[in-house]
Amino acid sequence: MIVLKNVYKCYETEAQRIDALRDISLHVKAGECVLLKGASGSGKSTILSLIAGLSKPTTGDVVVDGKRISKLMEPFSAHFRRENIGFIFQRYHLIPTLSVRDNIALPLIPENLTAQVMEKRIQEVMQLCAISHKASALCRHLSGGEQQRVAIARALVNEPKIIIADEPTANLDAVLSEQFIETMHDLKKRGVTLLIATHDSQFFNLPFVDQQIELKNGVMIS
Amino acid sequence: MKFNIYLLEFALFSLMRKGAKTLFVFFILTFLIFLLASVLFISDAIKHELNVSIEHLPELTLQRLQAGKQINVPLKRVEPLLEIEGVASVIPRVWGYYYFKVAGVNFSVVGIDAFEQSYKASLQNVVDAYDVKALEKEGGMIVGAGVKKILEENYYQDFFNFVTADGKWKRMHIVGSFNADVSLQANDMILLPKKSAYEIFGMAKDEATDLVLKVKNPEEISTIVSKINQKYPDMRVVTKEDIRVSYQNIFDYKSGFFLSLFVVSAFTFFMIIYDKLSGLSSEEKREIGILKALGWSMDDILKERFYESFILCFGAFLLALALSMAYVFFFDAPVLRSLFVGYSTLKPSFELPFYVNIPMIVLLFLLSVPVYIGSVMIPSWRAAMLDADEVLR
Amino acid sequence: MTLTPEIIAILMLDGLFLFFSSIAFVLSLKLYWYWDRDATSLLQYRLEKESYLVGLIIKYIFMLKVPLFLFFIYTCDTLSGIITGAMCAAGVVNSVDFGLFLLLFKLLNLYLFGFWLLLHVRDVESELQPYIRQKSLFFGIAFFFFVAEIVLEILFFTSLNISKIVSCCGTLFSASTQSSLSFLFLMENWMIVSFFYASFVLMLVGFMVKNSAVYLFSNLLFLFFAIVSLILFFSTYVYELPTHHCPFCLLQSDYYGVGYFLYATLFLGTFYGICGVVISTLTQGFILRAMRLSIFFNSVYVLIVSAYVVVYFLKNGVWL
Repeated sequence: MIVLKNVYKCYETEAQRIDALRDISLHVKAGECVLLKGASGSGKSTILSLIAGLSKPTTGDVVVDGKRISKLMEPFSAHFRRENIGFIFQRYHLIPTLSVRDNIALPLIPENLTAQVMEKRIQEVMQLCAISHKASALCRHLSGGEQQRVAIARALVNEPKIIIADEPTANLDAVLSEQFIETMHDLKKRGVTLLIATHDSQFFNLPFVDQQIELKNGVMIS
Repeated sequence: MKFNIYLLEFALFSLMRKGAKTLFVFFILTFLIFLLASVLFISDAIKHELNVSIEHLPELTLQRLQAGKQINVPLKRVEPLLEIEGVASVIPRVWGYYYFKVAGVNFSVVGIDAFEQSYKASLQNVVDAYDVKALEKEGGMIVGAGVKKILEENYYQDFFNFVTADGKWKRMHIVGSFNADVSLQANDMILLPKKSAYEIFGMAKDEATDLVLKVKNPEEISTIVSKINQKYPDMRVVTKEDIRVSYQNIFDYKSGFFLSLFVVSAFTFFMIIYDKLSGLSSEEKREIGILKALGWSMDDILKERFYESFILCFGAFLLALALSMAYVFFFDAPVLRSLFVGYSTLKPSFELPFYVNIPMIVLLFLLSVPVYIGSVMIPSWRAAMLDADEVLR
Repeated sequence: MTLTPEIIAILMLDGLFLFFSSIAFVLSLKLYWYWDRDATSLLQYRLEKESYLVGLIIKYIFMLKVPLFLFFIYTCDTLSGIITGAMCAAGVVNSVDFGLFLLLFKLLNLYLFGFWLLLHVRDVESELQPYIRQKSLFFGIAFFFFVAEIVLEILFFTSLNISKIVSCCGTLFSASTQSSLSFLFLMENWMIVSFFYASFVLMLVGFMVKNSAVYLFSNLLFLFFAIVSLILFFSTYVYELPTHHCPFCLLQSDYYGVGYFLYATLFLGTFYGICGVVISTLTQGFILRAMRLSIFFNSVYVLIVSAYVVVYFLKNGVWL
């Protein structure tokens, strides 16, 4: 499903050159749940953004669901990302001045679906994430847990094959973390491929995790 | 490719969310387009009215020139001119400007005669309405509405004292006033018997200010003109067509002048908009990063921004158009119309006729909307170019 | 120099076009020299983004050029009011030596920009965007034609002389020796009309056997003979006057603006026929659609001009 082959990624500014990733190769099968472990700055987020097609590797290949996304031109990579990937950010990155419903609808707008199909999908994910009762509330008025549920709903609304979560439980208490893990388990049961970057130990011993990859200074150490 | 109405909807709400910034740009745009539209409307309305009034003018006006300046025409030239084939009538006119020092305005003084045909139908109506012979006897005159107002302001209720060319006083009684059908021309006019006109201007009785010719067949005008030129080389012939062209040129010059100023201000506005939009707030950058991360392509973001700009600009265009029409045609365009209506003649209190046509609106559109869209094009592209990755870290 | 509001609007937009097209030109050159699909350098990523801007600018210019072309004709029409002797746009255009050149340049640039956009649409449909270099090279060349048009237009408006007497379309589009177009009238009407219909038949043949070379060639012929036959023959049936040949007067409201419709169909038909076919040699799968669109618009054109002739004959029982 997801293949990284000899990937290097470096960021160049006027002042310096940062090697974020060095010679990373990994393989994720469809339906697997993979954890990316490592301290901050180890390169976890970089790998996730490469797989989502948000950035391109300096050298090496990234292949997702048979498509070489490292070589895809912009409109096609955006289209691919929209269809196949749901991203849950560490800081959720919701648009605060939009309502819950409108935030969730955002990935659907470029698809230009009929109004019925669009509404159906939005209602489905809102129910799944138990946030229907706050549909018209502005996101800036929501609590942390509610915002996270909106972020999850938004990631699911396009019915993606892959869910990518970057430090999803960093801002949550124990109860909400557990709820999140439950949701991930449900998704795995449905056959969704999961990639979770985290240094939360709650995840390390979960039975449904298939692979654990540890990173340090941009290099895979396990 | 199906039209994406959700993008349009998003653009509309995005504008509303931006609030103050949107309003600022909207007001400035509306104001600029309003100014432009008003000037064009006024100019076109006056041009249109003048073109209508020109229809009433005689086909040929003959003036005598000496050293490039106009002098009086001897009346003995009338007969030989009547002998030219195709000339229907020759009417000598006695008229001029009288400067009323106290009010600082010029009156147009026109001499009328009981037995002669006036060159203009509306004047002829006045002549028929009043007994010119009686006017001559009692030294009476008929004034336009604007004149009456000025005289009343200067305490002249029933009469007026002209100062003649040799410094003597000549009292003329105000017998009546008229509202000509074309207010532009007649507002500052005084009609009085030719005899009195001669006295006031100190003109010799065997002269006229100019001659007005009517021709039997308008197609023959150029032939008749060349014959007149041969007979009297010192006479200049002004045709109706010449007047129409010169009016069009004056208006085009005046509106062109204003327009050049407008283009300069539009350019300045262009720069301001460019500057303002180039600097995206961190909030806006974040929003674009989020959209891109969610699968919006550069194309979608560009389209959305284009819709925003177009809604803003087109909305301002429509509003400015409506406001301008109200300003020009309902309120008669106070302040701006002095651009076009002269300074030393009496300011006529006329209504601008309603005259709007499609090419004018197209012109207004071309002068505003493409300029604005052009100014937001590069900033929008810069915004859409942002890397989601960099912004969301 | 006369500075009517219309002229100022056109000149101002010309200035904007010059500014933006220069940016597009510089970017196109960069794209042509440095584009490397397989590179992963910062430069390549930047180029990918800049290729967007080029497309944006050209779309902007083209969207305005089309109405502006009609507006130019309208402006010339209003100027005829102050230029002695000119009764419609024809006289004004011809009052300047290169007026006709300017008009032809404008038309040519419409074709060139349209061609670029057609290529661009085909290009972005593909994930590989294989025509970036071709597009960039093409625009690099087309840019000079565009600048020439703008320069000519500025010179045109600045050299308009209101005191010079010009010929009206009656003289211009006639066999009189004063007219620069009199050579057209040396040819016999029946010859030109035959060539016109012959080129259309050739086009139908090319369409049926799906041969692009024949189709392209027939379109080029068709364009030429359509314009000439319109001036010499068909316009007289629109005006119902054997001496009135002016192609501009067709745009006036007296004839219900049929000129706009005729020119639009002729342009669209020949555009798809010429540019569409050329593009199909580069990209596959477009040829059928291009040919169909082209034959449709060209047929509409032929039908309308023929209809005027036939209706006249049916109404009056004689030819003009």
